[in-house]
Amino acid sequence: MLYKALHLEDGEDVIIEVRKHWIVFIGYVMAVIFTAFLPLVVFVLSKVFFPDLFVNIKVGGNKEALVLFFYALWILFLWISLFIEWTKYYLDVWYVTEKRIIIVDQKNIFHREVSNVRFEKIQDVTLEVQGFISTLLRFGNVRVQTASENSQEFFMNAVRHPEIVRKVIFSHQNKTGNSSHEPLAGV
Amino acid sequence: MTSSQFTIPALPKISVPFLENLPVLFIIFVAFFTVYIIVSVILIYHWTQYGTHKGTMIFAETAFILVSAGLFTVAFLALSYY
Repeated sequence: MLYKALHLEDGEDVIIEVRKHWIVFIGYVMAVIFTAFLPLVVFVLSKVFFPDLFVNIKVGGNKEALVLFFYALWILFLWISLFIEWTKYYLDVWYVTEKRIIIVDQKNIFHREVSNVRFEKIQDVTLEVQGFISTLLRFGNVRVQTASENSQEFFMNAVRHPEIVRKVIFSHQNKTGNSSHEPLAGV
Repeated sequence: MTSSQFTIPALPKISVPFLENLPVLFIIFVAFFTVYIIVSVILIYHWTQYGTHKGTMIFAETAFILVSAGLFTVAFLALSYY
């Protein structure tokens, strides 16, 4: 594993990587496949319903070569967009270490936010598994709330095995000896 | 009223003048290739800088470059046969 970019402290290791479920990315893959075949579907339907349409389009050279040229560029465009989407999916991750959670929010290619949440600052971790598919494939939303003065909330949707994530966070929070479930001083 | 009155009129002849010009198509190809190179550099930078699984990164880079190279070859050959 290459955790160089995380700038971990001495003796700090990543215990678990919290990622979105693959179903999130599969949805995009299906959309890309559908879009890839869309010109072919339009072409076949046009041939059936408007047989004269392509006969009437005049181009200088080889018509089939021209269609192939633009279709190759179209597939290339989709191929690039697929990898842009995969990069956003793959780099959107929470790293849980023994000391903290490093939250990387890859909003888009040029917008990346990295936050650190120490276990002693965590007030609550809630998970939400809603619906048949989520229950079947074991994914759900995870929300981490901090207890500091300027309370923050971190959220990731469609997380794989959210129960394990919460369990790991709570167990390491307890190990730090400062459970957030204890009453806060002065409250 | 008979059904013969509803015949679809013949479509007009469509001409796409800029597509008849091979240099224009070549400029489209080069512009697309330039954009591809820029996007590839950005993506590969992200993968090498922030990626945490070496195997996944190598697989992603290989698949991305090989398939793209294949598609560019098809586009270039199509342009040659045009």
